[in-house]
Amino acid sequence: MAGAGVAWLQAAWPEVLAAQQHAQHTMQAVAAGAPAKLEYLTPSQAADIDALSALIIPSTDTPGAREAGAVYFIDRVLRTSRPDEQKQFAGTLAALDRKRTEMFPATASFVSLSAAQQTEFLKSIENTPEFAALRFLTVCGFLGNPEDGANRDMVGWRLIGFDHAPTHTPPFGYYDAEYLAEKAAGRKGEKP
Amino acid sequence: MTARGPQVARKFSPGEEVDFAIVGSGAAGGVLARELSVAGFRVVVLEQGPHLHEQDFQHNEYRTLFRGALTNDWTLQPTTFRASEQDKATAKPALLYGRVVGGGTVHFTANYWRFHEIDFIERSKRGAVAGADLVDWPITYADLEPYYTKVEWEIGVSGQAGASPFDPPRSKPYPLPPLPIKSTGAIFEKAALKLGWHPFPAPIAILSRNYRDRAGCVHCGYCEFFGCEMGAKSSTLATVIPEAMRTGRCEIRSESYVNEIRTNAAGRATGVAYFDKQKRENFQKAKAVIVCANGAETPRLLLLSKSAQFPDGLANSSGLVGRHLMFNGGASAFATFEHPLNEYKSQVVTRVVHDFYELDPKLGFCGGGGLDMRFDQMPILFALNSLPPGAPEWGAEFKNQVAQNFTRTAYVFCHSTSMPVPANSISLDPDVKDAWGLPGARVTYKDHPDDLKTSQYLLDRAKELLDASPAIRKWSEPPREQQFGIHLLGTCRMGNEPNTSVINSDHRAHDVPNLFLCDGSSFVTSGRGQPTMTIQALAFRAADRITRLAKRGELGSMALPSRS
Repeated sequence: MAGAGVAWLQAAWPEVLAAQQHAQHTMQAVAAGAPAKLEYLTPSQAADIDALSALIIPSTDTPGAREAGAVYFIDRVLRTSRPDEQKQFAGTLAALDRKRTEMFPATASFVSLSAAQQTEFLKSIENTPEFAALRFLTVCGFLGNPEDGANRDMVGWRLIGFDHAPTHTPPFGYYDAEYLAEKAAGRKGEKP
Repeated sequence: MTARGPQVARKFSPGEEVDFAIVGSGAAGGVLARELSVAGFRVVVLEQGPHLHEQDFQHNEYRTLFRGALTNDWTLQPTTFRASEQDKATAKPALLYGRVVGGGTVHFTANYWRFHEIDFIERSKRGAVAGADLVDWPITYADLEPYYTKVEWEIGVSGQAGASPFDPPRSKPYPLPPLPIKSTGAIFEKAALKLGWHPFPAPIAILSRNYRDRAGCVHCGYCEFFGCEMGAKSSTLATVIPEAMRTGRCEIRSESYVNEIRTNAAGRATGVAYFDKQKRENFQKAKAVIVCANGAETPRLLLLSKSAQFPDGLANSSGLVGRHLMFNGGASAFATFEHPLNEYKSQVVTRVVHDFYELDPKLGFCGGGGLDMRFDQMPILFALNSLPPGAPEWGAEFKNQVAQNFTRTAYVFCHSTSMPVPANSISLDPDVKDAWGLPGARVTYKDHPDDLKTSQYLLDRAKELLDASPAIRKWSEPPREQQFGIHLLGTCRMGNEPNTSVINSDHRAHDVPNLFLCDGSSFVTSGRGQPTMTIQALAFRAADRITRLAKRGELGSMALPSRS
């Protein structure tokens, strides 16, 4: 049934398919390792954000926010944001700097803290709007679309089992497959 | 676009008096535009939002959900909220609605339950409810049945007639078979049958097969909250609006924000004032005005249209414009499962139960509802909001929980009644202004005690269902008083008496003979939580009634071919 829908679509709506293919190509180009560069954040801001995002979604035996290039996504979001949003984010970074120097006087940046200090700092801010903003952007950078600079090589989607195919066909998951198999077996059993 | 034909770009100049100016292009406005232009009238539809098309809709969660592409933007149109009329309202997001051509039908889930007989006569059957102004509709299910059928066949609804023993009578089967079952549907059906309930395939306004000139669903999964790039979701954008445009008598004027309905000395509407994309003020002349702007924006526009002649707002001699706001109740019971459900694939809901549509009066409260099971969150929203309780918000265990649970989480969703409480309302905020300088919508809302009891009752059933399923981990929160509305109902209620209602059963304002209101605001009761089907049935019926009045000459000399 879905197959018939796709065939019809190919005949009637080539431009929709072309647009989808274009999106796929863009994603593949990004996935192929097109060099990422910063266009908005300063190198020191980016280093701090990268370290913070790597604590929120760490690199373990599987890739984390750092491998997904979350900081490059955040850089792009900020570059394309409205001035009031940019100002708000600058305020977020300033507040984080202030809190860090209160907690660890005479430190110059978040990356310069020891691993233990970084964790201690994050624990101390986890109920603040600044943390919520960073967590939001990090999650978007890990699980967003590669064409936006997020989720490089689709590492986030691979980790959670999300198949970003343009179409799917039933059965979709374990329990509907099981249900359909039982129905089929039941029908067979009813035969004389 | 070959199969669907070109859309004729008919343009009217604002100074040219058209037959109908329709405010809003959503569930009702789209239907009325099509029906009236097909009947031969000249129609201009004014829509706040942009006219997007299938090729504009993306498989992109961040852009669609978090950059406000399809819905109202609270930074431009702030809303305020208070729980009671004694409180001062504070600025916060309190309403969500579609703000594109097609309105909420572009991003909705497309659950298309008909109302049952009880929804129209609950007052007669159940008696008065203290603290609510529960009354019967001036029309019955039987009056609306032909129009429910018309919706199903005109826009394309998938379902299985007769599958629910609780269904009201119908004159025709669905035009399309149900969509394929998902894991939540399979789990839900098996558990419901164990409990002796009556699960049935969900009626959904999404094409399960090719229908007329549109392609069937390809199960991409970017469905609720997203626009359908295949046109398989039966939004007004994909169905009636192109048909209206093809008549050559209908202009869809997007990015046009109506701020006033003007009237003449005789008390008749003369047209609508609106801001165009550049925020320039314009005036569209029309012989009649139909407002289909949703249950929040319709009363707001009437209240904004006050004049010396109508000092309390237009069509508000009853004082009821904006009152009896109803959101529907919505409680959820979550669970995780051992195996992947992959609910991110395909459209959202595949099985429903209506065993609790009418609750036993002996329970001591009035209401009822329906249950379904689903998981409607894409990766980002899931990771931010839907981990099991106690999961950390960051670190290796956060990452682990996101990875383990994304494909394995689902919830039973309880949809239920809201009682019409007079104090629950949309009014103009005295302080907060929108980006056009107009007073923002102030929401006053406190769930009626019966609504919370109904929600709790249904939530207990949802938990029973999960107990009868293979769920591993289960959690829920007790129903809380709502402070945010998506279903916007009841604010310009229909009725026979001008002192107790805003419009009559023809959707005609009691106070203004050439002004009609048709959308969720027309509702007298809330139904059980899936209002769009009824909004569209009302719109098809309203089109018939309005056409009859126009042919009788009650709306001035209109451009009907039969009259020229």
